[in-house]
Amino acid sequence: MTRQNIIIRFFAFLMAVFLLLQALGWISIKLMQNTNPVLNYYSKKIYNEPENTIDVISIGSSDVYSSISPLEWWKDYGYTGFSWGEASQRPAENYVYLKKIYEKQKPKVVFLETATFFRDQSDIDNINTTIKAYLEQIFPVFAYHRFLWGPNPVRIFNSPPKKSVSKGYFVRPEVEKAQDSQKVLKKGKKIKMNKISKYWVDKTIELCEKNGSKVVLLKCPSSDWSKKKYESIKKYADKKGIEFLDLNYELSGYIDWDNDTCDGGIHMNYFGASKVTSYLGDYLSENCKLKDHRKDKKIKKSWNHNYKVYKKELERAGLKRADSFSAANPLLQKPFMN
Amino acid sequence: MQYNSYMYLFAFLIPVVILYYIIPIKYRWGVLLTASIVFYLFSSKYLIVSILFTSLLVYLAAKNIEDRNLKFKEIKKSLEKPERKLLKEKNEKKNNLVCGLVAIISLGILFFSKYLNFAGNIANSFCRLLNINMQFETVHLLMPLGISFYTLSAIAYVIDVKRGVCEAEKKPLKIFLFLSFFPTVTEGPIERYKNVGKMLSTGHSFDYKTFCFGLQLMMWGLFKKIVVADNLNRYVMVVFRDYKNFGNWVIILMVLVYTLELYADFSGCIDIARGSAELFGIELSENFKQPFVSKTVNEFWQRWNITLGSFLRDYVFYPVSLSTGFQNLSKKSKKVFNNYYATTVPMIFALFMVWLCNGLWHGSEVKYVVYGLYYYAILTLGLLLEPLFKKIFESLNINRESKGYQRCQIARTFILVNIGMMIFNSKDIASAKEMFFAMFKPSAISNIPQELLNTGMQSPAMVLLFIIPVIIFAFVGHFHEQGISIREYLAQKPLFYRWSFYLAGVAVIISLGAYGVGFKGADFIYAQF
Repeated sequence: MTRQNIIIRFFAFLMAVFLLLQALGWISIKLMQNTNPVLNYYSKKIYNEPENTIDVISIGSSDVYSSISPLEWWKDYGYTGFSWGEASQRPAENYVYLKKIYEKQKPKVVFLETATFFRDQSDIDNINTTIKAYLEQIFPVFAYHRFLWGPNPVRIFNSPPKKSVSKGYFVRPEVEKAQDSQKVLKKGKKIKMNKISKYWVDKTIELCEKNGSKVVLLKCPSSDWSKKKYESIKKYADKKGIEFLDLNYELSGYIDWDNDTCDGGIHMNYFGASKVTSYLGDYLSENCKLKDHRKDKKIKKSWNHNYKVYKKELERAGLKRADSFSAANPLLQKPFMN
Repeated sequence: MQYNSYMYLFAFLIPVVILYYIIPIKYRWGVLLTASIVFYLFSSKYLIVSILFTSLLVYLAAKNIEDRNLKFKEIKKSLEKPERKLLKEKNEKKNNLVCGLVAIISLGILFFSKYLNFAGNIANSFCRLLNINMQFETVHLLMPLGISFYTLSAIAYVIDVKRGVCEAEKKPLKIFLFLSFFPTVTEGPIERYKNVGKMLSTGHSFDYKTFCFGLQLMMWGLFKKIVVADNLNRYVMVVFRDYKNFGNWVIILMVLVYTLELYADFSGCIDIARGSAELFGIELSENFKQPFVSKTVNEFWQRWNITLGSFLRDYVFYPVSLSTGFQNLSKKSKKVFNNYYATTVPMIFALFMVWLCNGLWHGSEVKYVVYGLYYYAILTLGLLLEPLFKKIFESLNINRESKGYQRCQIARTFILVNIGMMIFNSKDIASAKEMFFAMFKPSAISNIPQELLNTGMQSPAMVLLFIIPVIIFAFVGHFHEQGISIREYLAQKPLFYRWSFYLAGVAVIISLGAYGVGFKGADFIYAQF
C-alpha cells in the first residue's frame, strides 16, 4: 500500500470515528432526560436557557447540585440562578464549562465551589481532567455515555423538555445522619492546591472577572472537609482579594447533622439545602445588587411555571418548607462574616 | 499514568508515536527512552533513581562478566589444560559472585521498598509470642513504579549474560530503556533482554499491518479493562467487603465474577501494553494463553502470567534443583525411595521456593504467601498421590486420555483456581476462610435476585457484563487454542467489514465503558505489585 493510500485511509477512518462519536453524543443527550421534572437536573441544560437570563451561576461538584436550589431565590428575591454541579468535578472542568456558559450568559455572580480545588492532587490527574474536559466539549458522549443504556431507549423519539426545571438542583429527600466523628470538622492534614489545579482556579477567576462577574469562593457544608483546607483556601482568597464563604463555619450550629444530610454528612439533603440556599439568597440580597426578575415579562412566565412544577413535585415527595426560607432560618439575621 | 487514562492515550502515546516515525530511524530508540523517562517521572517522580541505579548496576555487572569471559576466550588457547580449567573455575566463581551480588542488591531494594513493614510485622508477632519487649514501627515507604517487574528483568539479564544466552549491552542507556520501557514497566510482561533488547534499540520503519494490529490489540485490551473489569469491580467489591450479608450462591457467583474481573483487568492491561509496543514495531511476550482451559494447576501457571512463571522456572527452580545441596538430596532419595519418588521428593523441595517466591512477589501480606503456598500444596499432593491415582484409574478402567476425563480435569482446575482467586482478593486470611465456608452454607436460591440487587447488579448488567464477556472470551479463546489468529482472519476481510467491526468496537467501549462523570475506574490490579 502506498504512503498516500495509508494517509487517506487513516483520515477516512478518523472521520468515521468522529461521526460515530458525534452520533452517540447526540443520542446520549437525547436520552439524558428524566421523566420526573425535578430529577432532570443535568448541568448541560444551562446551554438551553435563553440568552442573558441567568444572573447567578454556582459551579462545582455534587455539593452544588445537592445544596443550592436556585428556584428558591426566584421565589424569595426574583433572582435567576443555575447550579452547575457534576459529580467529582475538577478545576479544569470549572474553567472549560464556565467558558462555554459565558458564550450565552452574563452572570453577575459566580459561586465557585472549593471542594473541586483539592480533588486532583497529582499532575497526572490534573492533566487527565484537562483532557477529559476538552474532549467532552467536542464529544459529549464521553460525559453522558451512561445514558445510552438507560431503561427507556424510546425517549430518543420523544421531544423532551429542554431545560432543567429545578435549574440544576437535585432534590435529595433522604436522611442519613452523620457519624459522631463526622459532625465536628476535622483538623485534617496540611494540604495545598496542586500547581495545575491552582493554574485552572486562577484562570477561572480571571475569566469571571474579565466577564464582569463577581467571584465568591464557596464551600457548602460537608463532613468531607477540614480546617486545613479552609485555611488554605482562605489564604488563597485573601491573596486574590476575593470573598470566601465556608458554610461549614458560617452555618455552624445551624446545620443539623442528624437531619440535614442525605449520606452521612457528605452531601446536604433537601433540608440542608434549604438552609444553604436561604443563606446564599440573603447574601446575594445584601451584597450584590441583583435585579428582581419577577416582573420581567420575558422570563417570569417560564420561571413561575418551573417553580410551580418544582413545588408540586416537592409536595408529592412530602417535602414541605416554610413560606419564606429566610423566616425559617433565624441564622440569617446574623451579619455576614466577610 | 494508567494505560486506559486520557493522558496516556491522547496526550502521551499519540505524540510519542508521531515523534517516533518522523525522527531518523537511527535515533528512534532515543524517542522511546525519552518517552519512558517522562512516563516514569510522571508516575514515580524522584523514585526514578531506583530504576536508574538498578540499570547502572546490571549494566556494570553484565559488562564485568562479559569482559572476564572475553578475556578468558582470548587467552585460553595459550594456556595448558589444568591452568585453563583452574581459570575457568575461578572465573565461574567470580561470575557467580557478581550475579549473587546483583541479586542481593536488587532484591534488597525491592525488599526495602515493598516488604520492610511486612517483615517488621512478622518480627513484632514473634516478639509478642516470645514476650520480648521490642516493637518495629511502621515506616511509610513509597514504592517505585514497576519495581517487582523490572527487578526480575534486571536479574534475568545478568544471569543470561553469565549463561551466555545473550551478550552484554554496550550502552547503559539501552539497559535503562529495556528496564523502564513504558508499555512494560507498569504490569509487565516480565521481559528478557534476549527477546526484546535488539528490538528496542534498533529503530523500526512504519509497517501498516503491525501498526493496525497494535491498535486492534489496544482496543481489545480497553474493552477488557474498562468495559468488563471496571464495570464488574463495583459489584465484586460489595460482596467481598460485606460477604456476611450474602448467601452462598451470591458469594460463589461473585468469586466467579472476580476471576473474570481479574483476568479482564490483568490481560487487558497486557493487551494495551503489547498493542502500544506494536505501534513501534516491537513485539512483546504473551502473558496469557487461554488459562481457563488448563487441565492442571501447573498448566494454569504456564498459561497465566506466563512471564512470571517462566522467570521462576528458569531463575529459581532450575538453580535450586541444580544446586549441590539438592543434588545430594536427590542422591539420598534414590537410596530411600523408588524411582518415581526419588525424583519427585527433591522436586517438591525445590518447588517450595518457587511458590513461596510466587506468593511473596504478589504482595507483602500473609494472604499472598498463603496464596502461593495454596498452589504449592495442590501441586505437592498431586505429585505425591499420582501413583495412587494411577492405580485407582487403572482398576476402574478409566481412560485418562479420554475427552470426558480431560473435561473433568479442566472443571477441577477451574474450581481450584477460583478458590485461589478468592484468597487473593479477600481482605485477609480470616476473611478468606470465612468466605470459603460460607460458600457451603446453603441459602435459598430465591434470595439471589434480591441479593444481586443489593450489590447494585441488575439482570441486564449481569447479562451484559458477565455472561456476554464470558461468551466472547470463550469464543476468542477457542480460536486461539486452535491456532487461528483472529487478527489475521480479520485482516483478510474486505475493508467495509473490517471498519464496521472496528467502529462497533469503538462504540461498545465508549458507550459501555466504566468512566466519565462521577466514575473513577479501578486502578490496574497488578500495578500495585
